[in-house]
Amino acid sequence: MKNIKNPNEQEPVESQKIITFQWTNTACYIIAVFFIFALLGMFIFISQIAHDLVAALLLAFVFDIPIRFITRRTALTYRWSAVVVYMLLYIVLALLLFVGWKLLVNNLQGIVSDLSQAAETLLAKLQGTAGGAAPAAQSMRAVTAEAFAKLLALMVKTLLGMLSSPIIAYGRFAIVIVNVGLSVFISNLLVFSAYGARGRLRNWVPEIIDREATILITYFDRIWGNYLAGMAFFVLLLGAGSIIEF
Amino acid sequence: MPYPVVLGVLTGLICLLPLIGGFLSGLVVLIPCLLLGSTRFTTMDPLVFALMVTLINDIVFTVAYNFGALPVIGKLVRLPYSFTFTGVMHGFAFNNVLLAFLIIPLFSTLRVVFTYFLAKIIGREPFPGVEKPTGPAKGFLSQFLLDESVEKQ
Repeated sequence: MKNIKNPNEQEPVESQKIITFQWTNTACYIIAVFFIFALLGMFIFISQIAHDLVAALLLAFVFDIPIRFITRRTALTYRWSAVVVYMLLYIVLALLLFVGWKLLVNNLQGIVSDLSQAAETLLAKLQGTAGGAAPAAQSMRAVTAEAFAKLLALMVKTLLGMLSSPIIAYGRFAIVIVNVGLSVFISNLLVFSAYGARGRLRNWVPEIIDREATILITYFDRIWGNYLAGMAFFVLLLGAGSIIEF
Repeated sequence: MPYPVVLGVLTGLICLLPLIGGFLSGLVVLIPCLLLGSTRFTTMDPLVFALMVTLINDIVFTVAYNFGALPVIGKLVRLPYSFTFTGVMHGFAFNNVLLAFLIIPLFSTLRVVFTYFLAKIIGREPFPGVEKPTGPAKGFLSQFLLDESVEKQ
């Protein structure tokens, strides 16, 4: 009898078996210990730039708030909202660096010269008072006042001496702006990297702890986001209040 | 007062320093007031004017920070006022301004983590009655656990 094959019947495809080599418990322990040491080493290695990284991470947290706000309220995607927010920041920083410094240096120069003149006038006035035949108590008062005026003049010169020259003032101002710009740039990279890696942690979190991990991470978000937003609001409020008060 | 904008911006920035920000901003204000005097009350003695402005500034900022900002921020991060206040003092005990600035959210984060661990150790539900958050991510960290299908691409 002839063996006829049914045309609909397909030959079973030989499945490729993936064989995973499992480590023994001892190997796992040894590697875990090495892993912990490697992590510690990495922390020591990056501790030199820890301040910059912390600043960048905090800025990423802060700027994530307006980015999400723009994403919710407009048709822009998260990525484009981030581009808008960071471009605005870079423009503001560039304006501060190239235009704002003149205003700042002029103001600081004005304060420095006014304060120096006022301190010198006060000192001269008090030295004049100290001269002449005065009773002992008056002399003591004059000496104390003179010492106070000298101390005041010294304080003014120490505090504001660094701003005595426009070039030095601009140099210091530029260093601050460049440092802030660097932190903003790193935070920009962090925001884009985080967006590229969204949902990636889900693959590493087992289904059984998914709910708890999501709740925990949402709490952390709320804590840090609320704190930074609250502090920013407080500083803006007090700064504006001070300008009105002054 | 002379140079109100520059001094206002400086004061606002110095206020970022927890606890001593109010006092330091008072010092920043004291020197120009003492040396330049008032621009409006020209007959007033500069010393009296400087002391008055510094006193008002210190009181306003200290009260606003300690009794306004700290309780509000404490509520935002779900931490009692006593913890936020002593936390900032602890930060300064380490002579670290950054730590003093970040101690409140750090305390709050540790509180959440310790509560979770404690609940796990004694075998209780760590978040009773709390549903798993769904929908688009609300913050920077939660996007790593976000269901990508609900996020606008």
